[in-house]
Amino acid sequence: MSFRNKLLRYGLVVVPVLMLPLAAQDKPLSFEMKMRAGLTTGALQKDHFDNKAMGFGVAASYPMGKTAAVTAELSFDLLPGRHRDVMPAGGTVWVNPANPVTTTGSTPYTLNPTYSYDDRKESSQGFSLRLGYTDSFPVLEGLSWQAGISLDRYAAKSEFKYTFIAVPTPPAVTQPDGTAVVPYEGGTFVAGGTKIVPGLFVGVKYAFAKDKGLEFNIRNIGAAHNHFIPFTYTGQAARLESSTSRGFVFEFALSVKI
Amino acid sequence: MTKRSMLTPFALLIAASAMMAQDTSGTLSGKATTRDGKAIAGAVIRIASPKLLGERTTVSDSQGQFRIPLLPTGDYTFVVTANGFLGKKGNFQILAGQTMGIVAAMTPVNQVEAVVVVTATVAQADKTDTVTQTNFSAETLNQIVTPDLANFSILVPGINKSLTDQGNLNIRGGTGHSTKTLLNGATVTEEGGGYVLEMPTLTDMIESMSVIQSPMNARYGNTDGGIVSVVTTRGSNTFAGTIRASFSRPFWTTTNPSYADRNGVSNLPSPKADDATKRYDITIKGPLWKDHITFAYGGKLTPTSTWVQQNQRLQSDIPQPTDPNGIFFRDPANGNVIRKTNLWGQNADFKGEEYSQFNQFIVFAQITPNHQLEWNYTQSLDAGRYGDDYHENLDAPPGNLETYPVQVWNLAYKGIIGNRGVLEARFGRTHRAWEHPFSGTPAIHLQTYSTYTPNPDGSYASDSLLSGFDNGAASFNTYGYPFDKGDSVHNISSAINYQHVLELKGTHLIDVGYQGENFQWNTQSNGNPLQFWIPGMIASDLTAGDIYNADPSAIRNPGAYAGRYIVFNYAALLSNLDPTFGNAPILDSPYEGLTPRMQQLSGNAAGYYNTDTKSIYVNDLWSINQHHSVMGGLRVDFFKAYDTVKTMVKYNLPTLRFEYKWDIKGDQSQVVNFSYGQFHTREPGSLFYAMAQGRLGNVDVKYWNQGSASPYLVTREEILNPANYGYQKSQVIAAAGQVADPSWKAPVSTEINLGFRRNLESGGYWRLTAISKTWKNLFDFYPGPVTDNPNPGGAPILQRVLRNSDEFTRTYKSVEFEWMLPLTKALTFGGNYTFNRLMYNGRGSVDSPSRGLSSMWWGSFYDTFQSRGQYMPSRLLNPEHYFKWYLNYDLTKGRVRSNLSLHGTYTTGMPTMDTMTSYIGRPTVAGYYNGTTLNNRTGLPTTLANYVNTQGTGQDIWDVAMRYNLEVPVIRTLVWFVNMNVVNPFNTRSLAGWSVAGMPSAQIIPANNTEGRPASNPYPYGWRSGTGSMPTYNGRQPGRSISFETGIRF
Repeated sequence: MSFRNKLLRYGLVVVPVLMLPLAAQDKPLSFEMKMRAGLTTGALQKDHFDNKAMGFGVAASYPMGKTAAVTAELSFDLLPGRHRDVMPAGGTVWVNPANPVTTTGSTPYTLNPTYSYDDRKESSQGFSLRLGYTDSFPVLEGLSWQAGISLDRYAAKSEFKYTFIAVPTPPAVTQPDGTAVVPYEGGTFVAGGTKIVPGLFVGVKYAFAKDKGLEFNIRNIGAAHNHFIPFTYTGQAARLESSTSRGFVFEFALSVKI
Repeated sequence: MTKRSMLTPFALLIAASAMMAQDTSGTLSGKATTRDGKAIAGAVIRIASPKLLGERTTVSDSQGQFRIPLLPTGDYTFVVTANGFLGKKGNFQILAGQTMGIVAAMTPVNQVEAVVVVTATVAQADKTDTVTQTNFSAETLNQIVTPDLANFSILVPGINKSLTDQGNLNIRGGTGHSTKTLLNGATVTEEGGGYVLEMPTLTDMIESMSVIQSPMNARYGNTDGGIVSVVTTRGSNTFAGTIRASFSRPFWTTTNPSYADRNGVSNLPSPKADDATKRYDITIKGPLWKDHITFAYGGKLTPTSTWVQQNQRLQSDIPQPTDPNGIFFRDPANGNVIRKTNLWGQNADFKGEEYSQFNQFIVFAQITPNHQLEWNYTQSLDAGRYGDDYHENLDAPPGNLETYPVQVWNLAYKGIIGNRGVLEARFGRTHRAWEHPFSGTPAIHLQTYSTYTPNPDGSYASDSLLSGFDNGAASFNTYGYPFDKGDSVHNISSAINYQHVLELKGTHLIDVGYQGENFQWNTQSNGNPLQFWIPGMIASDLTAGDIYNADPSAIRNPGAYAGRYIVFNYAALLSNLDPTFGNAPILDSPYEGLTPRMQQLSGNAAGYYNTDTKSIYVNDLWSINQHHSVMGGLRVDFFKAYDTVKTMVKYNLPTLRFEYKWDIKGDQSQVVNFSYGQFHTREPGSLFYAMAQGRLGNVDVKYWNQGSASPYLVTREEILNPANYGYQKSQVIAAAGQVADPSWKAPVSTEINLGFRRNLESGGYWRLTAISKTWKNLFDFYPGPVTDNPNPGGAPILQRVLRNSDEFTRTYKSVEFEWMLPLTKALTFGGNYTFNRLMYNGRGSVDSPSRGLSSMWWGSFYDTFQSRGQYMPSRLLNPEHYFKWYLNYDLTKGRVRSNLSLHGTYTTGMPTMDTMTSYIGRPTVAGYYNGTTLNNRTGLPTTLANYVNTQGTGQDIWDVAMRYNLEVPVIRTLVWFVNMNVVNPFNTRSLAGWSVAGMPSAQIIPANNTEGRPASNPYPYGWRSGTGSMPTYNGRQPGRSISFETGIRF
């Protein structure tokens, strides 16, 4: 783990310790810890094949006037994923027969659906820094709104397990010894990748106790995404493409003054 | 009249005790001050509790401080009085192993104002506590979860349930077998394999349960995984008890949650009904001699309906012999072949019914106010657990399942010595029966069956001995037993600790002590030098209709067969068997079970084997001032594994501990801790037993060599006649086959941890801890020299050497966040989150720093394609993230107490061992392959960017459970209670393993030939799903279930 990551990770332990003497000195700065859980939508949810999002954070708040404040929050978020099989249902595929057998052009093969699969899973986790502004909502005492920008640094973990067994159409390609060649492509690997992506958030908060509150936020965030394209689907060299998945997160958060 | 104990002020200081994980009592400490914080000396503090024998009184010192140790767990009231001040009263709770701190801020009598009761409702961080632990009272436990170890783990961060170590908990990356479980201070984790009593006590006997995740005080040792401590009630001056009945039933079990496959068809779960389980508990406690001796008893009865699933040792997975005659036997009357059978062994399930019992006794004596003695005894008779493995009686009918006894007893003394010391001494023993190591296969069921083709009248083909193989009148079960009673194992633990208070630039609590833990495995307790292992006996309950011959009208006399054994001459087996095994030794092949063998243990008749750990330690907890404390400790463990002939391993291992605590405000509400500790791992005793040279290890094995090549029937007397045995297989002699390198030492983990705990003013707390742990001294079995076999004609023996290695690494890094927040007066939200990366790159058991299981790999040690070296990337072992949470809503109205709790877990990042397997079943390097046969495999290194490793993760696991408790007072102290639980109401829990969407579970690719199935798969590569054993994270069974408990309490 890089020093920077270590610092970020263990910094969450050090920060609460350092903050307390400050808070104890009756300075206007106040601190909260937050626990959040929510649902994702958009490409983020599609690429993760899962709609959950959760996280923990520590937020500092500095008052600006009677009811408003600027806030900064550092949180660790988790966007889990689920396994799913993305193998196409049909269509011609390209398969490179075994060496030293040579092909006779692009012989059409068909994937054997019983023995072929393309399993993928993608999950993301990382840190998010949010800077925002909050002010009270005159509608109800204890109610406030908040909005701001975020800088999210999420690391993707993309798992790929696939095996493609093809059924050759006649005439079957054979090896020099006359045995049939059964084209096959397979592999298992995990790809990573980290992106720093800006985002936005807006929400409301209700302080139901002197030191506790419940928030509802809508965030727009992005995370790294890895897409693997096997030879079997395209006939080209297998390749991994990286991009950014974006989506909305609808989340609830419990905040507790530290 | 109650007794009082007037401890001197000085005695109060010396009575302060750094809490021992094994401690079954707690301490009250505090300060009497004025409203503006000035110390009040000479304040009198009186405490009382129904759990206390007598009343305790003490006086505050010049700093206003006071301390009362050796308090039994429970609820207390206190009263503080001082001249010139208004009295203070309040209440507090003591939990085992904890120090409860209170501050009594008192008002001068000349300032008339409302008396504010100071209460301490939350266990505060005490800088004299030298552990990081999570502790819950029985009442809190009962409100949130069913009080047992598995469910308790929900409330504790850093815990994962072990996959392989008999249900023990993994704590902060430690192995299951290295986690110590204590019952009233006695170790109940059996050293051989790390087994533990499923539940050391009953629900109504629990006073508190705690987990010490990082036992930093040098008093703790012989574990690198943490300590689970269960403390029971000891009774009190008042008679009390409960009668409880528990019922549970999975109302249906489902398969994996439904997925839509690639064609859009959902794989719907199918319902299944399961039997209900019942349990009856009774507890009673009270005084034997008021204020002096108390007792507590808890008993449990669990009816057990057991389907005994026997090990299919015989022929189930073996292809049929190609000999057209097959394996047949002859009519003893005329020698003619009377049947041809495939001799397929089947699991013959039968149902036995018995009661599992559990009894627990505790007697506690307060000899004087300063001295106490406690004795406790626990007996668990677990019916049907190892059923027929332990049978002695060949003629025992089905259902006569012997129970599986485990016994634990412990004697403990605690006392205040002189003015400066606290002395504690303890001696305990855990004992249980153990299946004999040479019993090998459990009782076998030999069941012959027909050729599956019934005759028109429903009977089976005439070449069958028996018709059918179902559990009907036409089938039978036979049992094979070792004639030996079996072994027992015991674990003896002893400890003596003296704590002394020294005033030197602050207060020093110095602990000096000794601990001993001895595991002994006794073999051949009946002293029988010969042991016979035999195939199945034909049951005595055959009926005439069970037997046919070539002429269906001629019915054989079943008496001719009953009570006899079908045996095979050893040489005949070799010639009659499937050609695959022809001319090859059949050692350990399934066919070996068809021929009787006689085993003779040689060497010392005593036949025991030991692992012994003796430890000495010194620890100093230095409270520098109100804000800072430092602790340092040194512990030396002396380890020895030996039997009656030789010492296998011997070493001593010093380890260090250090901890610093900063109480930021000086009132224990915000405490930072930094600690460094080294922990000596406890390896299971079974690691060494193959090296035993005594009776346990030296075995001569001879095989039946009578009769012809054909199988035939013999009597029991013939089986027991040593003259009928002749062929001796090449037996590996212990210590020739497996030895330990003289420099071998058990692994040591080094932990650094930084944490912060904050008690919130509005109640509740949170704690954040970062942990980094690494292991050294990891080990494996490596190829050693080749030696001659002392048995004539025996094959040379390749030694396997137990050796430490730098090749392996194991690290654990985690961040734990724990909280308990009262959201409203009635609603509490608690839980914990652990992020962890437990990484390991060794072979063998995935949850162990290294276990001897990797011996299977040594034969291919230098095989490029084994997962080692560059092809052995670090594997994630634990789930990366797990959340545990609970919501508890108090619905109490008046005298009717009730609460509703929701609790659950969410686990993500659970590692799996998915690999691409080649034709021969070995994992291959990740990448891109084409080709068909092994020869044609042209593996290309991956050219894809961002390659990480080949380890993936399984599906997430999340579940929720609900619990509702209700207590209704009936009359006087009689209370009726009911608890209801619904587990997994939303059916979100995944079953073992997981399947790719659209694929049938556990069948991703047809099995290749290595799995013994016909070679229908022309493709050389296969893929196995998951670990095959997704951990049931908190021990609950998959599928929904409902349970309720009801009873009375008085």
